[in-house]
Amino acid sequence: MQLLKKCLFFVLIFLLADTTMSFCLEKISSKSKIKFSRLYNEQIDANVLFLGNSRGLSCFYAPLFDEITGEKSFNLSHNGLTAPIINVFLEDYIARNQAPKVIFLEMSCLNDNIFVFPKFKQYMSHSNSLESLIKENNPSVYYASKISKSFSYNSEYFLRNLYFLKHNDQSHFNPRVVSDEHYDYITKDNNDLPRYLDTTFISSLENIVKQCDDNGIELIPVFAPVIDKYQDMTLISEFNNSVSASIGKEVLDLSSILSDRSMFADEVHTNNNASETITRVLHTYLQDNEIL
Amino acid sequence: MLFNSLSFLIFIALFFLLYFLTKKNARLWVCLIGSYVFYGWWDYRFLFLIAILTLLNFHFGTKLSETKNRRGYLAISIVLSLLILSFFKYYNFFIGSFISTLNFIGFRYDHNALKIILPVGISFYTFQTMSYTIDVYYKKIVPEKSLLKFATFVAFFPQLVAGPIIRASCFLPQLQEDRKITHTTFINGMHLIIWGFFLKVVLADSLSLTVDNQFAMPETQSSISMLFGIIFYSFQIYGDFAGYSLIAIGIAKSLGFHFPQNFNRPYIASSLSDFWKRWHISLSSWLRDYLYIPLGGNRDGRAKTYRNLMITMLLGGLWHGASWNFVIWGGIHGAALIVNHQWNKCRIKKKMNNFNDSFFIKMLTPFSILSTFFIVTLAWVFFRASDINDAMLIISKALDFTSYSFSGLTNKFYVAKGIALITFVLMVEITSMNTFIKKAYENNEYLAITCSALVLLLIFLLGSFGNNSFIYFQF
Repeated sequence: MQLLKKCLFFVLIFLLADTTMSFCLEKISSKSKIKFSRLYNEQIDANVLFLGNSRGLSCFYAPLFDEITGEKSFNLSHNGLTAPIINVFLEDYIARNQAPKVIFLEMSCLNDNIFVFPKFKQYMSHSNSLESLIKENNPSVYYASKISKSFSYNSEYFLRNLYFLKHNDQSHFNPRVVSDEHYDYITKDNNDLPRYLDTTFISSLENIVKQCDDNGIELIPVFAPVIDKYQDMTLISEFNNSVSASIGKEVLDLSSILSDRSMFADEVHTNNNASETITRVLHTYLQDNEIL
Repeated sequence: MLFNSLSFLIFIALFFLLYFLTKKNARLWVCLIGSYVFYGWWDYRFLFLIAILTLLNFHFGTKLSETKNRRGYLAISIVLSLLILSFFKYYNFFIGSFISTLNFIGFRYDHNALKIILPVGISFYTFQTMSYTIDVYYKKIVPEKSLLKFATFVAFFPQLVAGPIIRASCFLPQLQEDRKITHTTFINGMHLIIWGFFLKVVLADSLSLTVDNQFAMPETQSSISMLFGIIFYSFQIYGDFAGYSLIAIGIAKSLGFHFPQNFNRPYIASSLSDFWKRWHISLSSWLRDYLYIPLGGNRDGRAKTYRNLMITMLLGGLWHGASWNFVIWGGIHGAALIVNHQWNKCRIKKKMNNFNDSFFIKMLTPFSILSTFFIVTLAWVFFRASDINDAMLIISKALDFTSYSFSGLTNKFYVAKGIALITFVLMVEITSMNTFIKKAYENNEYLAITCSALVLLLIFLLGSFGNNSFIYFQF
């Protein structure tokens, strides 16, 4: 009897603390200026949307794009995002905002990494699609979130929520410059580019393409710049051709536009030194093709 | 099966149910069969090995009380145990080192390494069974008559694969009687398990996200990243190993068995000697009692004391793994212990000892703690690095003060989380030393339960659940 009493006390304290903690953390999350908190708590109504993984995050710089083009843009890229979850975020964005006119989609997000989905579990209560995606692909995470509501906030992404409480992550950029040591370490033969260029999952783009078609959005697939040692690799052109053939849209290939290695944080990610060059190229593309 | 896995959760639930439903011998059978199921889950072939070691040492223990040639039987039992351990753990290492030496002096010889699977926990239960026969020889304990009890002592699952190394004199008497399990012992065991899981799943596994990144490609990391990497590794290995030990001790406690403490706030040690009274206490005491003291200890003058210390630490290093990295790690600790001994004997230190509780001593203690931590952390680099060259590169980068720049720090969020977790754990450990707080915690069960409930919440909120193995399983 004593043991049962103490066990019940333990469970009660746990549930009480868990509910209180999750309530406080949700309040913090809703006030954060980080992009996905803004997605689920704010009206954004951007004309141009940037989507992709870390390569999209580093190469698209929304504040400069707004300044140069005069169009309101919003960068929904994040490290490790893959097409299925990008599709969910796009769906949720369209449900809450005016559909954008243009979407730039960085193409190296085609892989089957399902382990990135739980990073965003804190937003499950805001999105049925996200909840279904996590339930289907990460059931243990889903059910653990049901046992403990605070578990939903157990992610690196929530730590970022805290960091961006006061300032906007749209103006965050990568200041790192690839070091001489790292540059010497990079070789064409020993590279992880194939990880980013897996055509096995091109079909995961279909839903994104369909959403864009259904909402009259101009989808522009982009291949972000890579460092000089990786440029002109046939792997890249083959990948772009496969994507183009699959979705019927030409990929805007920016892989070789930057020769200055000081514009790179590492072999596949640009830094803020590259922002203006890339933004002007995107602007020129929009003007030349009379989009916007 | 790992402690932090779903299969273990199911296993332990079933085990507890059967354990509490049975009594006396039936309960021992539950312990033994449960332990063999636990061990066989890794690889059923390991069961033959543990069974052989059990039967051998049981036989030798019995013989030691019957025969006149006690020394001979002891020698055979130790040699056989060490041969088994050496074959599985060190065969390829010794052969590889021998061949490298031959090649170095000009004799070309090619050899294909044998594909030997290292049985999980072999280092631990080999030492455990050796301590039994040695204690029987020295008549510290009587030989166990029941094979069931002896087999349970050897294979008891909570401490089987990663310690603590439990002496027969401690555990066998507890197996003689039916354990009285009160709700207090059960709950106290649960407290230890929860804190153990916190150290493993929150502290160790969170820090590993940074550490694995830094140690994987040290040539691409900045100095400050490397500095954080090595400091974080010190706490990762602590959280991992101390966490496992606490879970093992907690499970045993819940079942009514008392196992001694294996870690006692090692990073507040004020000297290397103090460190080894706080870190992996079951191993350090085993090495002291069965290696250092039989070698002569500190009885035969300074030179022999230092020789004995160095041999003990070098072999202690080798126990951890079949690699020169571990030998170097042991050597660093041996050298540091020798310096520590020398310092304790020098006149300045003796004069300082006279200043009890003085302001001077209080000022010196933080310096002693930090310098001990510094040496221990540098030694850990050899433990973690893939080879000696990498270890030297990592240390040189981490200590390159002139290159420190926060802009070079990668994964800042994980680093911030790591710093916060380390600070929290240190605060809990230091606070728990306070007599008032300790008494309040021990005397108020509901306060203790509240703390454990909050720690469980922190596990859900901050834990890293990537099914990470325990570092010491590789030993």
